[in-house]
Parts: sequence; C-alpha cells; structure tokens
Amino acid sequence: MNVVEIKAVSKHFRTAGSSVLAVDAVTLSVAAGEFFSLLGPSGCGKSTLLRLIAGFERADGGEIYLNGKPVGETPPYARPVNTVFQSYALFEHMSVYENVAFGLQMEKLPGREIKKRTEEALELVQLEKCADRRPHQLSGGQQQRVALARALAKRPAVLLLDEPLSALDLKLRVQMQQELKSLQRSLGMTFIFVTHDQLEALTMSDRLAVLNAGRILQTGTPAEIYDRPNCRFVAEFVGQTNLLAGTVEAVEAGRTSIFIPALGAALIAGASHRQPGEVVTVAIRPEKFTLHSEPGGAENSLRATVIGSTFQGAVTRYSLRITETCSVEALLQNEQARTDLGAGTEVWLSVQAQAVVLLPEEP
Amino acid sequence: MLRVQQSGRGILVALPVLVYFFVFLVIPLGLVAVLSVLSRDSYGEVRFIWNPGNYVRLFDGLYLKILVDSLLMALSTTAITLLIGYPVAYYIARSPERRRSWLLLAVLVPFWTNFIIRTYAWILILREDGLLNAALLKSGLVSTPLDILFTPTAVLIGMVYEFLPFIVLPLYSTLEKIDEAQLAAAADLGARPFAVFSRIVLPLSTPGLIAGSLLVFIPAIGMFALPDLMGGARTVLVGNLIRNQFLVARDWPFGAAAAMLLVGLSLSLLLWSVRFSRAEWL
Repeated sequence: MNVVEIKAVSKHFRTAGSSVLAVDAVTLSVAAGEFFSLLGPSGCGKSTLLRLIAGFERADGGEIYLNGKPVGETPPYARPVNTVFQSYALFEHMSVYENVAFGLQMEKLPGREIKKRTEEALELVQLEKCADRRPHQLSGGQQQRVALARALAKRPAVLLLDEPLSALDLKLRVQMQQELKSLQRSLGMTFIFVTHDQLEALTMSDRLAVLNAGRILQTGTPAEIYDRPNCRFVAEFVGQTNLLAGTVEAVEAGRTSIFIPALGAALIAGASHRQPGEVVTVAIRPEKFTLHSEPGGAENSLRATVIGSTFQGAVTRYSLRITETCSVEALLQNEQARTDLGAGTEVWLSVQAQAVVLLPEEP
Repeated sequence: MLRVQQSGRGILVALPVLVYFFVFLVIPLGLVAVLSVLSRDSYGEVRFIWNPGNYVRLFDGLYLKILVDSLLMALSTTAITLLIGYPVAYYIARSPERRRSWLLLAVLVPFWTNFIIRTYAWILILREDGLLNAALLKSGLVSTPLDILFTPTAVLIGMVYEFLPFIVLPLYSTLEKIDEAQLAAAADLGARPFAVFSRIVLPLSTPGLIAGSLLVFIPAIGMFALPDLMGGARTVLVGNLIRNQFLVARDWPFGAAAAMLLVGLSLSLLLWSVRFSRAEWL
C-alpha cells in the first residue's frame, strides 16, 4: 500500500511581484516501509515538497494523500507525519525528556503511556542518560538524536527528514547514515529523506527521486538512477560522468552504434529504440573504463594518452586525451601500484557496450 | 602579572561609568537616604535629629491607602499594557522584515510629541464635552456624558498610553528571536495554535515579559505628573505624595522616606528579575 500519494502537486512562491514555481506538478508515491529520498540541488523544491507533505505549506494545485486520505485541508498538527528539521528545532526551554514527551502530551495520552514511550524513544537513540539535560548542553550529533527521538515517539505513518545530517561532520554523518538506515529497517517505518548529497541518497534509499527546478526528473532504485540515468542532469548530478555528443548511426539487434564527431569514430551501446540520425548524448561513468597496454577485445577500444592523474587512495583518477577535441576521465581501482601510467603514456581505453548510456540530447 | 595589568586596565575603561554612577546615583540616593531619617522643624527646615518615625508614618491609614492605591494603579497599568502590548509585539515580530521597522517606528512616534502635549490631548478627548463623549452621545450608546476625566480611570488610561511602548519593545525583541522552526516543530508534534502559544511562545518570551513589566511597573508606581493632570484632586498616588512633601508641605524627611520605600520596592523587583532570568537561562 502507498502511504504517501502525491498527485500533480504544484506550489508557487510570490516574492516582490514575481512568482517562482517551487514545485511543478509533482506526482509521486511512497510505499509503506520504504526509505525514499528526494535528491536535488538547493532550490530544486525538495524541501518545499517535504513541507507540503508536513502541512507547513499549502499546495496551489493537486492533492496529497496520506494513508489514502486527502490532507489538503488538514493542518500540520492533525497529520500522521512527523518531521526531523534541518536545524533540529529543539525546544531550548525544555529538557531532552520534555522535548520527546511534548508530542505525546499533545495527544493527551495517559501519563504512564507518555513516560513509557518517551523512555523507549530515548533508548532507541541511546540518550537515556541525557534525559535531564537541555538541548544546548548536547553535541550536534546528540541534538540530532533528540530531534529523531521526538519525532519517532509519535510513531508517525511517515517520518519526514529535511537534510537532517547536513550539520554534522563527515565521520559522524556516515555513522548516522548507517544508524538511520538500520533504525528505519528495524522499525519498518516509512522515511522520506531530503538531501542534496547524492552519495547519501544512493547509500540509504530503497528508492529515490531526482528533482531539479521543481520537477521530478527520474524516480527509481539507486542502481537504476546510477546506471540508467534518463537525462543529462541526472547523469551529472548523481555520480560523475563523461558526456559526449553523438548521432545514432545504426540500430541492430542488441546494439546501437553512435557516431561521435569529437572522436571521429563510433561507439557501441547496448540495445535501444532510437532511430538512426537521432542526436543523443552518450554518458559513460569514469569507473566503467578499463585501461590496457594493447588493443583489447571489448566493443569500444580507443587509443588515448594520459594527460594527468590524481591519486585518491582507493582509486586513481586519470585524465586521458583521445583526440585533440576529446578528453575523458577514468577511475581505476588501486589493486596494485600503477606507477607506469605517468603523463604522456599511451594506453588503450575500453568500455563495454552495456556501460554506454544514451541520453536524449538537451539544449 | 598580566592578569593584574588587565584588570587594572578594565577599571580604567569602566572609570567614566563608575564616576557617573557615583555622582548621579550613589551621592543623590545617599543624601535621600540620610534625609529620610532626619527631622524637620516647624518652619520646614531639616534638623539633624535621628527620626526613623518617618517610616512608621508611611503606614498610617491615609498614607497606607495611597500606597495601596499606587500599587493597584501600577499593577493595573502593567496588566493592561501587557494585554494590549503582547499581541502588538507578536504581530510586529511575525511581520515581514521590511514592515517591521515601520511598525516599530509607529510605536515610537508618540514620543516625538512632548509629554505635556500628549497628556493634554487625552484631556481634550476624555473631558465632559470632549471627543469621546461627543462620539458616545452621537452614537446613542450613552444618554448623559461619561464622567471620566479627573477620575482614577482617566489616570489609568493615560498611564497605559504612556507606558505601552516600554512593554512592546522588550517583548518584540524576545519574540523576534524565536525560531520559526520551533513553532513549526510544535505544530508538527500535534500542538494546536493555543498550545503552541502557551507551551512555546510564552515561555520563550518570559525574559521580555519580565523586562517589559518592570519597565512599566517601576516608573508607573512613582508617576506624579499624570495623576496631577488627569486625576484631579481625587487621585493622589505615592508619586504625588512625595512631590507634595518636598514642594508643598515642606516635610523633606517624610518625602525622602516615601521615596526610599519606592526605591526599595523597585530594587527588590529588579534583583528578583535578575535572579529569575539567571535561573531560567544559565
């Protein structure tokens, strides 16, 4: 069953006479128990979409359904969702315990029930010992956990998380990513997670939607989004990619041949339903390339010269020039030391047809 | 060594302020304190004879009534300015940033006019053939003009008008600091608008509430000009009592005792508020 159902929802913001379309006819559904991410650059409308679900903003058009019921007219306090805010928004004048108990008190639950659920929530985030402290006496990571416990104590149908990890340092962020994910699995709760960090979205989500300029560009599992981006924006925003302009030359069974003017040669991609003559953009992830000292047997084998390399620990990034007008980036695992690939080294570059992705040409 | 030097420099920096406080606060207050335990002779001259009886006299029936009236007047003024000022401050604090400065300006505009002129304006409004009665009679709400001027009610109206900005400004400054996200979080957690106010907004604005109340209460309890101008002979407050003792009755020691009582009351309120805010915020 879909816990969240968003149908053609739009939202304008009017500022100083001009109107900005923050959310543009977004349609989306999130299944029960799913970890769903909204990924996009800042200003893409992902936070506005979350605020629409929470009820802090009213949609100009379309309808949002929670548990199958339309909630357009429902104020935030009556919606079965809870939010973990980017700034945490903890109540400074209350202790950690009071912060977590607040939402339960608002439900007018019996005192014993409030106590039990507050303690459970604090235990869940391992903050039992900090119950009497004030939020400002806690570290950023601990404050984050209080915000989480406060929302979880309400047992919402959907937990909305608005870039909750963005204020944490890298190490803590990675740790919290894992904790959030395992918490979500063990509770079986539906999470909608807003982030601008593509790696975060890929590692944590069951499914994600990539947004830009108020529109959803692509929805899918992390692997689908990464391996089969449907447009140039998604290809570039999620991970890194080499983009080459080309024209479809021939479409045969199981393979498509694209002529790349910059290479002066054709690349072979997998099966597609493009038409010969169609203008496309070819996307190849840097790690899909392999380097050889001799021409390999793969479909796409190109002669290239190493321009430069950057050692990045587990991997090394190579800049390779194929022709005067065409250079690509390749990412190679440092399985063994490759001291032989200095600038000027001539190599053979190859990529499998399956790794050559065709995107519709965009202006 | 360094620390000694630093603290020495600290005193140097604070010196102008210390001199100011000493000359304009400690010395005059000391003089009043000394005066309050002296006597006067039948011509009104101050005599250096120990006389704590001035303080005892303050609790005579007549003077006690003046004290209680003054306390009630100051309390009502504080309560009414709070009731009016809180929504005003909240509205300004939640307005778009550009509008806020204009609204704050509007709160302060009355101060551009002289106090006496403002008070006379109120007298013109409230007197028997004034604007208020003309409007009430015309609308048929009353058949005979209301007798408001030269009653305690008139004084209360004048005081509320006079002190309203003093409560709006500190309240505004605390309300303005409340993070919008906290209000959203409360609503998100199931708080209806009234609960958001009573559980989040009100507690977070307590410092401004206390500061504003003191800024109204303390000058209100010593106010003598407004009761004089708008209260007529029927309203005597402790401020008038002090003024009269110094300027009319020529009993300076008794006037000084009454003044010291007000100082003591104000000071204890201030100390309590400081302690209260410490407990709440540290």
